[in-house]
Amino acid sequence: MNLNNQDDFNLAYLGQFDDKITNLLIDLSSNQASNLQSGKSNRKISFLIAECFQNVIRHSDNLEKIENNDFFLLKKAGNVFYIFSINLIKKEKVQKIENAISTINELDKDELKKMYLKELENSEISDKGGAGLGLIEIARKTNNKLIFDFTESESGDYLFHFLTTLNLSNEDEESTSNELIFNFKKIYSKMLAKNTLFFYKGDFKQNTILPILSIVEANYLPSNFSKSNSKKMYLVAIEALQNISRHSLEKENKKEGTFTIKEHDNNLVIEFSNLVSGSIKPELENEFNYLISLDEESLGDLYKKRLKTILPSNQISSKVGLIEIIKNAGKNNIKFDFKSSENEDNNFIYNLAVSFSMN
Amino acid sequence: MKIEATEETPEFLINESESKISLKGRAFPENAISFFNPIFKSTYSFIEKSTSVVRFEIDLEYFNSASTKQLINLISSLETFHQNGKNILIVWKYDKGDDLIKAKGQEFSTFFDLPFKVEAI
Repeated sequence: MNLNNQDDFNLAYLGQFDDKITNLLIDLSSNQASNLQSGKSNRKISFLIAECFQNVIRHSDNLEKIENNDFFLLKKAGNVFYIFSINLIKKEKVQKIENAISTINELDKDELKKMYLKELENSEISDKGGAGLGLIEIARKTNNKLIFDFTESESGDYLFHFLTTLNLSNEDEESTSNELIFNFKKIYSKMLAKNTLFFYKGDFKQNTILPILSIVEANYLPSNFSKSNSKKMYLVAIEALQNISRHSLEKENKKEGTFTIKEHDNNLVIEFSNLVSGSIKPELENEFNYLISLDEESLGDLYKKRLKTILPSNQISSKVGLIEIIKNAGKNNIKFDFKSSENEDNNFIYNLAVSFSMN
Repeated sequence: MKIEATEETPEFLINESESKISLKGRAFPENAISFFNPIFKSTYSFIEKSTSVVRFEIDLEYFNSASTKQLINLISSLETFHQNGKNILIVWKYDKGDDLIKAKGQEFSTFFDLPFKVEAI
Protein backbone atom coordinates (compact mmCIF):
# COMPACT_ATOMS: atom_id res chain seq x y z
CA MET A 1 0.00 0.00 0.00
CA ASN A 2 1.41 3.36 -0.91
CA LEU A 3 0.48 6.73 -2.33
CA ASN A 4 0.56 5.37 -5.86
CA ASN A 5 -2.45 3.15 -5.38
CA GLN A 6 -5.73 4.51 -6.66
CA ASP A 7 -7.77 4.09 -3.49
CA ASP A 8 -9.36 7.21 -2.05
CA PHE A 9 -8.74 6.03 1.44
CA ASN A 10 -7.12 3.21 3.44
CA LEU A 11 -6.93 2.59 7.14
CA ALA A 12 -5.36 -0.59 8.46
CA TYR A 13 -4.61 -1.66 12.00
CA LEU A 14 -2.86 -4.78 13.21
CA GLY A 15 -2.71 -5.60 16.88
CA GLN A 16 -4.76 -5.90 20.02
CA PHE A 17 -8.21 -4.38 20.15
CA ASP A 18 -8.96 -2.97 23.57
CA ASP A 19 -11.88 -0.60 24.19
CA LYS A 20 -9.75 2.51 23.87
CA ILE A 21 -8.16 1.71 20.52
CA THR A 22 -11.47 0.38 19.22
CA ASN A 23 -13.21 3.67 19.99
CA LEU A 24 -10.39 5.72 18.49
CA LEU A 25 -10.39 3.64 15.30
CA ILE A 26 -14.16 3.97 15.04
CA ASP A 27 -13.78 7.77 15.45
CA LEU A 28 -11.11 8.02 12.78
CA SER A 29 -12.97 5.70 10.37
CA SER A 30 -16.25 7.51 10.81
CA ASN A 31 -14.54 10.88 10.44
CA GLN A 32 -13.06 9.78 7.18
CA ALA A 33 -16.32 8.34 5.96
CA SER A 34 -18.00 11.67 6.66
CA ASN A 35 -15.22 13.57 4.87
CA LEU A 36 -15.84 11.38 1.83
CA GLN A 37 -19.60 10.98 1.91
CA SER A 38 -22.51 12.80 3.33
CA GLY A 39 -25.95 12.08 4.69
CA LYS A 40 -27.52 8.69 4.67
CA SER A 41 -24.62 6.67 3.25
CA ASN A 42 -22.27 8.22 5.78
CA ARG A 43 -24.47 7.06 8.67
CA LYS A 44 -24.69 3.64 7.08
CA ILE A 45 -20.90 3.38 6.82
CA SER A 46 -20.41 4.48 10.43
CA PHE A 47 -22.91 1.86 11.52
CA LEU A 48 -21.16 -0.86 9.52
CA ILE A 49 -17.76 0.12 10.87
CA ALA A 50 -19.00 -0.04 14.47
CA GLU A 51 -20.76 -3.34 13.82
CA CYS A 52 -17.63 -4.81 12.33
CA PHE A 53 -15.58 -3.80 15.32
CA GLN A 54 -18.11 -5.45 17.57
CA ASN A 55 -17.63 -8.53 15.48
CA VAL A 56 -13.86 -8.56 15.92
CA ILE A 57 -13.98 -7.72 19.60
CA ARG A 58 -16.86 -9.88 20.67
CA HIS A 59 -15.93 -12.99 18.79
CA SER A 60 -12.19 -12.92 19.08
CA ASP A 61 -10.93 -15.58 21.42
CA ASN A 62 -7.86 -14.43 23.22
CA LEU A 63 -6.17 -17.73 22.65
CA GLU A 64 -2.98 -18.05 24.62
CA LYS A 65 -2.59 -14.30 24.20
CA ILE A 66 -1.20 -14.62 20.71
CA GLU A 67 -0.25 -11.08 19.92
CA ASN A 68 -0.86 -9.01 16.84
CA ASN A 69 -3.21 -11.36 15.09
CA ASP A 70 -6.35 -9.27 14.91
CA PHE A 71 -6.72 -6.98 11.96
CA PHE A 72 -9.02 -4.25 10.72
CA LEU A 73 -9.00 -2.55 7.34
CA LEU A 74 -11.22 0.11 5.86
CA LYS A 75 -10.85 1.08 2.25
CA LYS A 76 -12.72 3.16 -0.26
CA ALA A 77 -12.08 2.74 -3.95
CA GLY A 78 -14.41 4.43 -6.41
CA ASN A 79 -17.93 4.01 -5.13
CA VAL A 80 -17.27 1.04 -2.93
CA PHE A 81 -16.41 0.91 0.76
CA TYR A 82 -14.73 -2.25 2.05
CA ILE A 83 -14.50 -3.20 5.70
CA PHE A 84 -12.31 -6.21 6.32
CA SER A 85 -11.44 -7.87 9.60
CA ILE A 86 -9.47 -10.88 10.73
CA ASN A 87 -9.73 -12.43 14.14
CA LEU A 88 -8.64 -15.58 15.85
CA ILE A 89 -11.36 -17.98 16.97
CA LYS A 90 -11.53 -21.43 18.48
CA LYS A 91 -12.06 -24.41 16.22
CA GLU A 92 -15.45 -25.23 17.80
CA LYS A 93 -16.88 -21.90 16.67
CA VAL A 94 -16.03 -22.30 13.00
CA GLN A 95 -19.07 -24.38 12.12
CA LYS A 96 -21.46 -22.15 14.05
CA ILE A 97 -20.26 -18.97 12.34
CA GLU A 98 -20.22 -20.67 8.94
CA ASN A 99 -23.80 -21.87 9.37
CA ALA A 100 -25.00 -18.46 10.55
CA ILE A 101 -23.46 -16.60 7.61
CA SER A 102 -24.51 -19.21 5.02
CA THR A 103 -28.10 -18.98 6.26
CA ILE A 104 -28.03 -15.18 6.07
CA ASN A 105 -26.53 -15.28 2.57
CA GLU A 106 -29.38 -17.45 1.27
CA LEU A 107 -32.09 -15.02 2.33
CA ASP A 108 -33.60 -12.20 0.30
CA LYS A 109 -34.41 -8.74 1.68
CA ASP A 110 -37.85 -9.63 3.11
CA GLU A 111 -36.65 -12.88 4.60
CA LEU A 112 -33.75 -11.05 6.25
CA LYS A 113 -36.17 -8.58 7.82
CA LYS A 114 -38.31 -11.46 9.16
CA MET A 115 -35.23 -13.17 10.54
CA TYR A 116 -34.09 -9.94 12.14
CA LEU A 117 -37.42 -9.43 13.91
CA LYS A 118 -37.51 -13.05 15.00
CA GLU A 119 -33.97 -12.79 16.39
CA LEU A 120 -34.92 -9.63 18.24
CA GLU A 121 -37.79 -11.44 19.95
CA ASN A 122 -36.07 -14.69 20.87
CA SER A 123 -32.44 -13.80 20.71
CA GLU A 124 -30.27 -16.42 22.21
CA ILE A 125 -27.74 -14.18 23.93
CA SER A 126 -24.32 -15.73 23.99
CA ASP A 127 -21.90 -15.12 26.83
CA LYS A 128 -20.39 -12.24 24.87
CA GLY A 129 -23.73 -10.70 24.02
CA GLY A 130 -23.86 -11.45 20.30
CA ALA A 131 -26.93 -13.06 18.81
CA GLY A 132 -26.19 -12.95 15.11
CA LEU A 133 -28.18 -9.73 14.97
CA GLY A 134 -25.09 -7.80 13.95
CA LEU A 135 -24.46 -10.04 10.96
CA ILE A 136 -28.10 -9.80 9.86
CA GLU A 137 -27.96 -6.02 10.16
CA ILE A 138 -24.75 -5.87 8.09
CA ALA A 139 -26.41 -7.97 5.37
CA ARG A 140 -29.53 -5.76 5.42
CA LYS A 141 -27.61 -2.46 5.36
CA THR A 142 -25.24 -3.46 2.55
CA ASN A 143 -27.67 -5.43 0.36
CA ASN A 144 -24.71 -7.65 -0.28
CA LYS A 145 -23.69 -11.18 0.52
CA LEU A 146 -21.35 -11.50 3.49
CA ILE A 147 -17.92 -12.61 2.35
CA PHE A 148 -15.87 -14.76 4.67
CA ASP A 149 -13.50 -17.65 5.03
CA PHE A 150 -11.39 -19.43 7.60
CA THR A 151 -7.77 -20.52 7.62
CA GLU A 152 -6.22 -22.77 10.18
CA SER A 153 -3.43 -21.17 12.18
CA GLU A 154 -0.28 -22.95 13.35
CA SER A 155 -1.79 -23.36 16.81
CA GLY A 156 -4.81 -25.26 15.45
CA ASP A 157 -7.14 -22.32 15.99
CA TYR A 158 -8.72 -20.47 13.12
CA LEU A 159 -8.40 -17.06 11.52
CA PHE A 160 -11.83 -15.75 10.62
CA HIS A 161 -11.70 -13.39 7.63
CA PHE A 162 -14.74 -11.25 7.19
CA LEU A 163 -15.42 -8.72 4.44
CA THR A 164 -18.26 -6.26 4.19
CA THR A 165 -18.74 -4.30 0.99
CA LEU A 166 -20.98 -1.31 0.56
CA ASN A 167 -21.51 -0.20 -3.00
CA LEU A 168 -22.74 3.39 -3.14
CA SER A 169 -23.63 3.24 -6.82
CA ASN A 170 -25.96 0.77 -8.45
CA GLU A 171 -23.30 -0.64 -10.71
CA ASP A 172 -22.18 -4.20 -10.16
CA GLU A 173 -18.75 -4.80 -8.75
CA GLU A 174 -16.24 -6.30 -11.08
CA SER A 175 -14.29 -8.43 -8.63
CA THR A 176 -15.56 -11.73 -7.33
CA SER A 177 -15.65 -12.36 -3.59
CA ASN A 178 -12.76 -14.82 -3.87
CA GLU A 179 -10.57 -12.25 -5.56
CA LEU A 180 -11.53 -9.60 -3.03
CA ILE A 181 -10.81 -11.65 0.04
CA PHE A 182 -7.57 -12.91 -1.51
CA ASN A 183 -6.38 -9.32 -2.06
CA PHE A 184 -7.24 -8.25 1.46
CA LYS A 185 -5.51 -11.26 2.94
CA LYS A 186 -2.46 -10.32 0.91
CA ILE A 187 -2.41 -6.88 2.54
CA TYR A 188 -2.66 -8.51 5.96
CA SER A 189 0.22 -10.90 5.21
CA LYS A 190 2.34 -8.06 3.91
CA MET A 191 1.72 -5.98 7.02
CA LEU A 192 2.47 -8.96 9.23
CA ALA A 193 5.70 -9.70 7.35
CA LYS A 194 6.87 -6.09 7.52
CA ASN A 195 5.73 -5.62 11.12
CA THR A 196 3.47 -2.77 10.04
CA LEU A 197 1.10 -1.97 12.87
CA PHE A 198 -0.82 0.97 11.49
CA PHE A 199 -1.37 2.40 8.06
CA TYR A 200 -3.41 5.38 6.96
CA LYS A 201 -3.77 6.81 3.50
CA GLY A 202 -6.09 9.66 2.77
CA ASP A 203 -6.76 13.32 3.16
CA PHE A 204 -4.85 15.07 5.96
CA LYS A 205 -7.17 17.60 7.53
CA GLN A 206 -6.84 18.66 11.16
CA ASN A 207 -9.95 16.58 11.96
CA THR A 208 -8.07 13.52 10.71
CA ILE A 209 -4.78 14.42 12.35
CA LEU A 210 -6.27 14.69 15.83
CA PRO A 211 -7.68 11.12 15.99
CA ILE A 212 -4.43 9.79 14.47
CA LEU A 213 -2.47 11.57 17.21
CA SER A 214 -4.80 10.11 19.83
CA ILE A 215 -4.16 6.63 18.43
CA VAL A 216 -0.40 7.22 18.55
CA GLU A 217 -0.64 8.50 22.10
CA ALA A 218 -2.93 5.80 23.43
CA ASN A 219 -1.52 2.81 21.66
CA TYR A 220 2.14 3.19 20.81
CA LEU A 221 3.76 5.49 23.34
CA PRO A 222 3.08 4.20 26.84
CA SER A 223 4.36 0.67 26.52
CA ASN A 224 7.28 1.34 24.26
CA PHE A 225 9.09 4.41 25.52
CA SER A 226 10.44 6.45 28.37
CA LYS A 227 8.48 9.65 29.05
CA SER A 228 11.02 11.78 27.25
CA ASN A 229 11.22 9.55 24.19
CA SER A 230 7.47 9.23 23.91
CA LYS A 231 7.13 12.99 24.02
CA LYS A 232 9.71 13.32 21.27
CA MET A 233 7.89 10.83 19.10
CA TYR A 234 4.58 12.57 19.68
CA LEU A 235 6.07 15.96 18.79
CA VAL A 236 7.58 14.52 15.61
CA ALA A 237 4.20 13.03 14.72
CA ILE A 238 2.42 16.37 15.25
CA GLU A 239 4.97 18.22 13.16
CA ALA A 240 5.11 15.75 10.29
CA LEU A 241 1.34 15.23 10.10
CA GLN A 242 0.66 18.96 10.05
CA ASN A 243 3.41 19.32 7.50
CA ILE A 244 1.48 17.04 5.14
CA SER A 245 -1.64 19.06 5.79
CA ARG A 246 0.12 22.35 5.02
CA HIS A 247 2.52 21.55 2.24
CA SER A 248 1.15 18.62 0.31
CA LEU A 249 0.10 19.25 -3.25
CA GLU A 250 -3.64 19.82 -3.32
CA LYS A 251 -5.61 17.68 -5.73
CA GLU A 252 -9.38 17.85 -6.00
CA ASN A 253 -9.53 19.75 -2.71
CA LYS A 254 -7.59 17.02 -0.96
CA LYS A 255 -4.15 17.00 0.57
CA GLU A 256 -3.31 13.39 0.41
CA GLY A 257 -0.62 11.49 2.24
CA THR A 258 0.21 8.32 4.10
CA PHE A 259 1.17 7.65 7.68
CA THR A 260 2.65 4.33 8.76
CA ILE A 261 3.85 2.89 12.06
CA LYS A 262 6.01 -0.20 12.02
CA GLU A 263 8.43 -2.09 14.19
CA HIS A 264 11.93 -2.68 12.92
CA ASP A 265 14.95 -4.00 14.85
CA ASN A 266 13.54 -2.92 18.19
CA ASN A 267 12.72 0.50 16.84
CA LEU A 268 9.34 2.02 16.30
CA VAL A 269 9.46 3.66 12.89
CA ILE A 270 6.97 6.29 11.83
CA GLU A 271 6.77 7.08 8.15
CA PHE A 272 5.10 9.93 6.34
CA SER A 273 4.71 10.46 2.64
CA ASN A 274 2.97 12.99 0.51
CA LEU A 275 2.93 14.38 -2.97
CA VAL A 276 5.01 17.48 -3.69
CA SER A 277 5.28 19.50 -6.84
CA GLY A 278 8.43 19.01 -8.92
CA SER A 279 9.06 22.77 -8.63
CA ILE A 280 9.62 22.68 -4.85
CA LYS A 281 11.61 19.43 -4.80
CA PRO A 282 15.08 21.06 -5.16
CA GLU A 283 14.34 23.57 -2.39
CA LEU A 284 13.09 20.90 -0.02
CA GLU A 285 15.98 18.58 -0.81
CA ASN A 286 18.55 21.36 -0.31
CA GLU A 287 16.95 22.44 2.96
CA PHE A 288 16.93 18.90 4.32
CA ASN A 289 20.53 18.19 3.28
CA TYR A 290 21.64 21.49 4.77
CA LEU A 291 19.92 20.87 8.12
CA ILE A 292 21.30 17.33 8.32
CA SER A 293 24.82 18.63 7.65
CA LEU A 294 24.74 20.92 10.71
CA ASP A 295 26.07 19.89 14.10
CA GLU A 296 23.84 20.24 17.16
CA GLU A 297 25.10 23.68 18.10
CA SER A 298 24.75 25.17 14.61
CA LEU A 299 21.29 23.65 14.28
CA GLY A 300 20.35 25.25 17.63
CA ASP A 301 21.65 28.63 16.41
CA LEU A 302 19.66 28.39 13.20
CA TYR A 303 16.58 27.38 15.18
CA LYS A 304 16.92 30.44 17.38
CA LYS A 305 17.54 32.72 14.42
CA ARG A 306 14.49 31.48 12.53
CA LEU A 307 12.27 31.57 15.58
CA LYS A 308 13.26 35.14 16.37
CA THR A 309 12.94 36.47 12.84
CA ILE A 310 9.79 38.51 12.43
CA LEU A 311 8.06 37.25 9.33
CA PRO A 312 6.11 39.37 6.86
CA SER A 313 2.41 38.74 7.45
CA ASN A 314 2.02 36.89 4.12
CA GLN A 315 4.68 34.34 5.00
CA ILE A 316 3.22 31.58 7.09
CA SER A 317 6.08 29.10 7.22
CA SER A 318 8.94 29.96 9.56
CA LYS A 319 10.88 26.88 8.43
CA VAL A 320 11.32 25.57 11.94
CA GLY A 321 9.13 22.44 11.59
CA LEU A 322 11.85 20.32 10.00
CA ILE A 323 14.43 21.57 12.52
CA GLU A 324 12.04 20.58 15.30
CA ILE A 325 11.77 17.07 13.82
CA ILE A 326 15.56 16.72 13.54
CA LYS A 327 16.14 18.08 17.06
CA ASN A 328 13.61 15.69 18.57
CA ALA A 329 14.53 12.57 16.63
CA GLY A 330 18.29 13.05 16.21
CA LYS A 331 19.61 13.37 12.68
CA ASN A 332 20.92 9.80 12.52
CA ASN A 333 17.41 8.44 13.02
CA ILE A 334 15.86 10.22 10.07
CA LYS A 335 15.72 9.16 6.45
CA PHE A 336 14.12 10.99 3.59
CA ASP A 337 13.79 10.43 -0.11
CA PHE A 338 11.86 11.43 -3.18
CA LYS A 339 10.27 8.97 -5.53
CA SER A 340 8.78 9.93 -8.83
CA SER A 341 5.06 9.53 -8.81
CA GLU A 342 3.72 6.84 -11.14
CA ASN A 343 0.60 8.80 -11.87
CA GLU A 344 1.92 12.32 -12.14
CA ASP A 345 4.69 13.33 -14.50
CA ASN A 346 6.13 16.34 -12.71
CA ASN A 347 5.36 15.52 -9.11
CA PHE A 348 7.22 13.57 -6.47
CA ILE A 349 6.40 11.53 -3.44
CA TYR A 350 8.27 12.90 -0.47
CA ASN A 351 8.95 10.22 2.10
CA LEU A 352 10.19 10.79 5.65
CA ALA A 353 10.94 7.95 8.07
CA VAL A 354 11.85 8.54 11.71
CA SER A 355 13.02 5.78 14.07
CA PHE A 356 12.75 5.70 17.83
CA SER A 357 14.55 3.10 19.85
CA MET A 358 12.27 1.08 22.12
CA ASN A 359 15.07 0.22 24.55
CA MET B 1 -10.21 36.86 30.60
CA LYS B 2 -10.29 33.13 29.95
CA ILE B 3 -10.07 30.91 26.88
CA GLU B 4 -11.00 27.30 27.62
CA ALA B 5 -8.62 24.50 26.61
CA THR B 6 -9.48 22.20 23.73
CA GLU B 7 -7.92 18.98 22.44
CA GLU B 8 -5.44 21.08 20.43
CA THR B 9 -5.23 24.44 22.21
CA PRO B 10 -4.26 25.43 25.76
CA GLU B 11 -6.24 27.24 28.40
CA PHE B 12 -5.40 30.92 28.55
CA LEU B 13 -6.17 32.80 31.74
CA ILE B 14 -5.54 36.29 33.08
CA ASN B 15 -5.90 36.47 36.83
CA GLU B 16 -5.97 40.20 37.50
CA SER B 17 -6.00 40.00 41.30
CA GLU B 18 -2.85 37.85 41.33
CA SER B 19 -1.30 39.71 38.39
CA LYS B 20 -0.81 36.38 36.70
CA ILE B 21 -1.23 35.23 33.10
CA SER B 22 -1.11 31.54 32.24
CA LEU B 23 -1.09 29.23 29.27
CA LYS B 24 -1.73 25.60 30.14
CA GLY B 25 -2.26 22.46 28.08
CA ARG B 26 -1.50 21.50 24.49
CA ALA B 27 -0.84 23.83 21.62
CA PHE B 28 -0.99 22.41 18.13
CA PRO B 29 -3.79 24.28 16.40
CA GLU B 30 -4.05 24.22 12.62
CA ASN B 31 -3.75 27.99 12.56
CA ALA B 32 -1.49 29.16 15.39
CA ILE B 33 -1.55 32.80 14.28
CA SER B 34 -5.31 33.14 14.66
CA PHE B 35 -5.28 31.25 17.95
CA PHE B 36 -2.55 33.45 19.48
CA ASN B 37 -3.82 36.78 18.17
CA PRO B 38 -6.40 37.44 20.93
CA ILE B 39 -3.84 36.19 23.48
CA PHE B 40 -1.32 38.79 22.31
CA LYS B 41 -3.90 41.57 22.49
CA SER B 42 -5.20 40.69 25.97
CA THR B 43 -1.68 40.17 27.33
CA TYR B 44 -0.41 43.52 26.03
CA SER B 45 -3.38 45.50 27.27
CA PHE B 46 -3.14 43.86 30.72
CA ILE B 47 0.59 44.61 30.99
CA GLU B 48 0.14 48.20 29.82
CA LYS B 49 -2.31 48.83 32.69
CA SER B 50 -0.39 46.82 35.26
CA THR B 51 1.67 48.49 37.98
CA SER B 52 3.00 45.40 39.80
CA VAL B 53 5.10 42.41 38.65
CA VAL B 54 3.30 40.36 35.98
CA ARG B 55 3.93 36.63 36.24
CA PHE B 56 3.52 34.88 32.87
CA GLU B 57 3.29 31.10 33.38
CA ILE B 58 3.79 28.72 30.48
CA ASP B 59 2.80 25.17 31.27
CA LEU B 60 2.60 23.36 27.96
CA GLU B 61 2.59 19.63 27.56
CA TYR B 62 2.91 19.55 23.76
CA PHE B 63 3.27 22.26 21.14
CA ASN B 64 3.92 22.40 17.42
CA SER B 65 6.50 24.58 15.69
CA ALA B 66 3.89 27.10 14.54
CA SER B 67 2.85 27.62 18.18
CA THR B 68 6.51 27.83 19.23
CA LYS B 69 6.97 30.65 16.74
CA GLN B 70 4.00 32.53 18.21
CA LEU B 71 5.21 31.89 21.74
CA ILE B 72 8.63 33.30 20.88
CA ASN B 73 6.96 36.36 19.30
CA LEU B 74 4.94 36.83 22.48
CA ILE B 75 7.96 36.55 24.76
CA SER B 76 9.90 38.94 22.48
CA SER B 77 7.17 41.53 23.00
CA LEU B 78 7.28 40.93 26.76
CA GLU B 79 11.02 41.51 26.58
CA THR B 80 10.35 44.91 24.98
CA PHE B 81 7.88 45.75 27.75
CA HIS B 82 10.53 44.73 30.27
CA GLN B 83 13.13 46.96 28.60
CA ASN B 84 10.62 49.80 28.80
CA GLY B 85 10.33 49.45 32.57
CA LYS B 86 7.56 46.93 33.14
CA ASN B 87 8.20 44.18 35.68
CA ILE B 88 7.68 40.82 34.02
CA LEU B 89 8.61 37.32 35.14
CA ILE B 90 8.33 34.35 32.74
CA VAL B 91 7.83 31.04 34.53
CA TRP B 92 8.27 27.98 32.31
CA LYS B 93 6.74 24.97 34.05
CA TYR B 94 7.44 21.30 33.44
CA ASP B 95 6.36 18.04 35.04
CA LYS B 96 9.09 16.52 37.18
CA GLY B 97 10.84 13.96 34.98
CA ASP B 98 9.77 15.61 31.75
CA ASP B 99 13.29 16.34 30.53
CA LEU B 100 12.20 17.41 27.08
CA ILE B 101 9.91 20.24 28.21
CA LYS B 102 12.50 21.25 30.81
CA ALA B 103 15.20 21.44 28.10
CA LYS B 104 12.88 23.48 25.85
CA GLY B 105 12.37 25.98 28.67
CA GLN B 106 16.09 26.19 29.35
CA GLU B 107 16.80 26.71 25.66
CA PHE B 108 14.15 29.42 25.25
CA SER B 109 15.35 31.20 28.39
CA THR B 110 18.71 31.81 26.64
CA PHE B 111 16.92 33.54 23.75
CA PHE B 112 15.84 36.50 25.88
CA ASP B 113 17.07 39.11 28.24
CA LEU B 114 14.33 39.21 30.87
CA PRO B 115 13.62 37.29 34.09
CA PHE B 116 12.88 33.72 32.98
CA LYS B 117 12.53 30.85 35.48
CA VAL B 118 12.30 27.15 34.57
CA GLU B 119 10.38 25.44 37.33
CA ALA B 120 9.35 21.85 38.09
CA ILE B 121 5.74 21.37 39.13
